[in-house]
Amino acid sequence: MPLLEAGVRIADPWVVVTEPQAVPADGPVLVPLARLTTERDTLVMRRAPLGVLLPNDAAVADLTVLVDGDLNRLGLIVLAFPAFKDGRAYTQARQIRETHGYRGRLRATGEVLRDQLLFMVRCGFDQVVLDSADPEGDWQTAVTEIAGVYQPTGDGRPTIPALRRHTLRRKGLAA
Amino acid sequence: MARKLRADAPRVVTANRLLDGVVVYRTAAGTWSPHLARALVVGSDPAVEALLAVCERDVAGCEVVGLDVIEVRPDALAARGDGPRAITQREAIRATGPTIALPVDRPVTRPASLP
Amino acid sequence: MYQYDTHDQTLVDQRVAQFRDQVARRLSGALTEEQFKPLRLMNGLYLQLHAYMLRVAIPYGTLSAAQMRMLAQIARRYDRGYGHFTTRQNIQFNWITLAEAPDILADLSRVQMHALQTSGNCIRNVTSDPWAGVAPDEIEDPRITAEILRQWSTLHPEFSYLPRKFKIAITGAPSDRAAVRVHDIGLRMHRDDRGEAGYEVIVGGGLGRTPVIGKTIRPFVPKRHLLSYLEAIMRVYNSFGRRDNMYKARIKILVDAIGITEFRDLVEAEWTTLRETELDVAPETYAAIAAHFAPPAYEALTGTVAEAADGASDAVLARWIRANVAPHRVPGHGIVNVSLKGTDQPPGDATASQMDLLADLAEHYSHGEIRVTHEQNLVLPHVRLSDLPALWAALEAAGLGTPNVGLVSDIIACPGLDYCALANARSIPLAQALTRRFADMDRAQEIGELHINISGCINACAHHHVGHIGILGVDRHGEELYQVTLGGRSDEQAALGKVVGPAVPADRAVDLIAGFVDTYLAIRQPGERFIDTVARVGTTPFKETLHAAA
Repeated sequence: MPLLEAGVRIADPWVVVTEPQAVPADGPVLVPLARLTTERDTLVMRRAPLGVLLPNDAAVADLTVLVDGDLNRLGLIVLAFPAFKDGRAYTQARQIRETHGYRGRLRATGEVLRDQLLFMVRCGFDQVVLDSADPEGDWQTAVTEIAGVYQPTGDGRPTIPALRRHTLRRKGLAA
Repeated sequence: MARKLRADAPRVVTANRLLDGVVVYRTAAGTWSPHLARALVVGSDPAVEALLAVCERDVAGCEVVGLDVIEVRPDALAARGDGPRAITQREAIRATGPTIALPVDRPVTRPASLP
Repeated sequence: MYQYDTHDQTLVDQRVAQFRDQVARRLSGALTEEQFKPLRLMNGLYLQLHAYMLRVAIPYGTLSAAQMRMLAQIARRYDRGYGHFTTRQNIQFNWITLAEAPDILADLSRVQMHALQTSGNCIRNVTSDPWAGVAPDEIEDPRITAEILRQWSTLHPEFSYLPRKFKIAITGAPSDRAAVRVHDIGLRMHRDDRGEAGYEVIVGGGLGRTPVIGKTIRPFVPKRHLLSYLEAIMRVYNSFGRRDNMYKARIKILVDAIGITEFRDLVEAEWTTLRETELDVAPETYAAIAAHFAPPAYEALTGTVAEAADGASDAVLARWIRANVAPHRVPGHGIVNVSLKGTDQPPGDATASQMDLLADLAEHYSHGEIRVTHEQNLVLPHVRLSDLPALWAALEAAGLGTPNVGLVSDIIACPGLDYCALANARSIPLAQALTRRFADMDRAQEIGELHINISGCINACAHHHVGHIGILGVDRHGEELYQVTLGGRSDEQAALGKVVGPAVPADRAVDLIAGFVDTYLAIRQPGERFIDTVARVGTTPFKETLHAAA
């Protein structure tokens, strides 16, 4: 299925390593949280990028303890939408970005629908696996069709309340 | 609500039209009618399954939604042309509409004091 | 009233365009019904028994005359000439087509209205005191915060796919007319030691299958920190609320399962990461929104509602004033409650012509403002007492002068099995039968305050658990039966009613309730309302009526 990063289709360099496969010596690997838990030392010591699949019923803290509290030791975190109606990963994403300051790639997988993309982007996802005939077009429409946002998230968009405060202050200065 | 239906109970397939939500029933001619009396009655599990399979095409084709099988009163009256009747209150209301008098938008007197 | 700025208007307009595209994709087959359903629900569109139903948000129950006229126009153009005001201060149109739904939303946006988040597993339309801004006992107008909550919850990226729906109610007065203890989150304004207004936050209340009175999670949250505190609650709920069983997915089940103490600890831990951020409501932001709710320019007048009733030229007018007009915070004014509970009128229904008239009357007599109550009535909140006779005459001529607000025939009822795909039994016919039984308005005044709530299924849209007399319709092997409860209330002393006797057919339910009322009249002490008598004597004397009637 197409993988998008910031709306652009890309090849996926990450190799998913599940039990009982051995972890290759080189190249970016993506492992489930459980694998990281059991083989933590080996995986963290590898001299290649490491990514983790975090199930949506796991606490973000379960992951941070494995990387000495620094999620930026990871190159990719993959969160799951087992059903599009299951919105737990939105919270995980914001905690990963905003509470823990993670700057690497954050990917949405599972039942990812076009009509959820704006919410995903706002919560901090920059990669999505999107089942679509025109994934780039869908992304473009989805993230631009509603321009204004009321809630501050880590996505950096100026919120409507912030824009209003700005206008108020400008008026105040002009007066 | 899907109820457990008897294997030999007379049944019809019902749905709502996608475009306007109107309650419809599958007819013998393979069309959808808003009249329960026109519905095709089937009386065995295999016949119901076969009918549902055909109707699923109209779900996929965006004609109807919410496919359901409902039990109807035995077809004894069909000879008189009355067709099947609903058994449950819910299906009776689906077939014939609300049981209450609906509000009627009559003109109201607008007092002369208003501008 | 709140007026959209270009930001609000653009968002609603873009949302309409987005929904138009979603409908087109559904009709073309690009979206399956399963994929489309949550999208249409988040735009207020249900598929009911006979047609689509559109639930339009009336944020915190406040409407302008222009908005009311648009509702009338929608009722005429797209529906069958009437609409249904709901227990959540919204309006529902029952005979809508999918194809026209985007046009209706476009019409609504022209008067700054929408149907956003009136359904779906998201934060729903925030409800409040229908007398906000005019009640004599109010601390501050709760609609300022309610509007802040409306904006914050609109298209919230993190909380649009919650385990289940989420309802927030807010009151700014000690007398709770917003039922804050039976909502997922209830907010009760009060002042702290330094005189600063803030909110007691109540969590995990709710009705439905498992009725629960909410628990106080934090006694005082300053206004400034309210959004961050609520975001912390929502986040804990989104993470830990059950998703395996829709009947156990509401926040009340989570709070009950882990206990309020642990729940509070989780929220407080999350709150530390969220407070003192941009989520804080800046005083200038609060002030800017508060300015929208500034009181209208009242005339300097004198007189009270009681004096107006005593001085009425006509006994029927006096009766209407006593029942339907409440004291106002400004002398010489009254809060006029318009009953939508006339005999044979489905509770909460109004025709397009009635809506148009109410818009005219609001403009002429009430500074252009109308409110919707969770009792399914309407309110003209700023009426001069000297205008009461003329206003009453106009209402009376339009079938809107029923003097029964808060009385036995002011029955709260959901649409029930006549319309609703979820219902097990009909509600409206029973409400109408009871209204006919208690049609004598003099006797109704003699009986006094009494709330009867009828829900057609366990989802409890008519809040039957908190009715003084609650009625729940059930389906027993195809027969519609009604289970009666006594002693519920949704005010500041919120309590759940207790079941009395087995479920009975509709005609028996009417006799039973008539018997309960007779019992009350026989045993009440001076000044006691029905609910006071039930609180004093319990259900036993009423159960005796039950046996006598059997």
